[in-house]
Amino acid sequence: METRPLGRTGLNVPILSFGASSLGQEFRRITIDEALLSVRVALDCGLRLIDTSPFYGRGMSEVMLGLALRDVPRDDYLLCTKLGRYDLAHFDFSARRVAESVDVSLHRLGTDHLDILLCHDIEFVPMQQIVDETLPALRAAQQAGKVRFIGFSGYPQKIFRFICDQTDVDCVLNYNQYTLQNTRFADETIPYLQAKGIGVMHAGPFSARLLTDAPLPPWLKEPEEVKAAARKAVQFCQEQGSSLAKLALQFSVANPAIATTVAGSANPENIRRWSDWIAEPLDQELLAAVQAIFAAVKNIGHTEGLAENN
Amino acid sequence: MFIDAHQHFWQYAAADYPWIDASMKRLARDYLPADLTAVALTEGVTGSVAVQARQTVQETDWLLSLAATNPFIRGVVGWVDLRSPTVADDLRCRVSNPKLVGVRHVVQDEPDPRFLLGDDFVRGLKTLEAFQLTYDLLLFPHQLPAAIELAALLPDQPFVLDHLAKPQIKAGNLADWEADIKALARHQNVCCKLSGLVTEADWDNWSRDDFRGVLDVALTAFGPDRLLFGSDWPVCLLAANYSEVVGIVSEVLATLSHSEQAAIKGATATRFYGLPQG
Repeated sequence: METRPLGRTGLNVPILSFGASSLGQEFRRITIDEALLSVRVALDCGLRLIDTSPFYGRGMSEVMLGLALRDVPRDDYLLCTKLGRYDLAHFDFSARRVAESVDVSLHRLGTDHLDILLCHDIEFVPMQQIVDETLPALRAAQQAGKVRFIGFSGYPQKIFRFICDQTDVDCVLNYNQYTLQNTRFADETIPYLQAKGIGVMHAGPFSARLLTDAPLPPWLKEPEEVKAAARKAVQFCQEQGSSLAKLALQFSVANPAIATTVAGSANPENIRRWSDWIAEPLDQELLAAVQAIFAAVKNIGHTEGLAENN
Repeated sequence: MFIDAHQHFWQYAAADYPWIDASMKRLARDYLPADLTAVALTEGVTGSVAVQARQTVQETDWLLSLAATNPFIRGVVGWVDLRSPTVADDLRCRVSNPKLVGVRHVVQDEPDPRFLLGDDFVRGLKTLEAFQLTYDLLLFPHQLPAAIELAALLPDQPFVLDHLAKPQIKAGNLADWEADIKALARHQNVCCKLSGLVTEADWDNWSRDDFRGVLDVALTAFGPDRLLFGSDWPVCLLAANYSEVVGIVSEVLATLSHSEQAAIKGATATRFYGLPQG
């Protein structure tokens, strides 16, 4: 699979990474066999950067990955996990918890080092703590050789300048905001990150199933007019003999300024299909037509975390 | 796991590092743990063994103090005067620190080619055995015959050869060196570091091909279970950056199985030096 450099880290990452939130049964019940096979298929297809978090399945995603990766040579994959978010409403970004969280994640994942470690969903807390306490603790873990590269993740565009104006990080992860419907990450933030040499990652090319043929899930936070446009786009793509999901994935991975796009599934068939899709050329005509369908709702998102951080 | 089993730190002062001459200006500055992690983590190296570069116990204690606050440093190879009658006391007060894993003397600077076999020195080495410390052999090729005798004389003392005894890659004078390496490797108590090679080539005009021959000799003679990767950073910077030094060895690694690669990248170092895991 094609790779791109991740900022100034020296890492070359695949343009499509494996998001392991599904392995934590965040979205549906899965069997252990499905989980193990998904990881194997992801690696076989070249999705060799794996993104997880102690939040996903409250530890289950990391545990499943530890099982699935037990006999895989460590050099064959890169691991990104996170810390600070442990449940829907449980956040702890203290330095003490950083140290504990790193060791717990290493143990679950069965490795002696993480390639990337991110503060998870920082918009849910007063963010000055991330600058003053959390990131220095991550740097300490980095100096200890437990973590190679550090950064943070979250949804609102505001978080990136708030942190990066004050301190250095190696890479960041945004989600659901470089898609067919919402490109605010690229419009507002990526040029700023590039100027600083910060590695750029984006998760959620399908925007929580918004841009797929699947029924829209209850956790989708976008307003009704966005959902209506998405349904129209799904139908349009089907009429053209294509699929909105395919176009959505191809669109997200096509941007060379985004080192990697993280997409997750515990269904091996999905992973194989994605890997085939991104090897095919992007249909520019279809893209223009679908962008026209989304034009009226372009860049409409939602508020996430504390109001002050949006 | 990827351990750099041979690197140095220093706070530069000209009087302390007389071997850093005008041709080595690049080395005439401080090199501290944060400088190492800045280049090593990118290559996937997540721990190191810091090796002495001055012959003073003060330096050893300073390296141990760095290791105490920098978990990246998994072990320290220090210096004590092995010829001194007080060697046991000098070691006893330091071995309670688990980060002290071995001792090295700059034998390459000793004029006597049989320095290693001096009575006082051998007595000091026997003390290491009692303290379960390893010994790093820093030699030039003409001192290898003495090292071979020493390995036979102290079969229970773990030795590791630094920098393959600095083969004369630039001059291409390798026949005696190869024979001696093979003879040394017959002693199972000796391991060998794949380190320090780039500075034995032409600093300004080397290629990866320059090292294939000597790396092959080491690989055949010792086997992966007795080989350790080391960068010799920051000395390597005279000829190559950290990434290039890893690249030289990774070419050899690419021909090996995963478990053989794992040995050279850290398992041998962990076993030989008794390093803590992670």
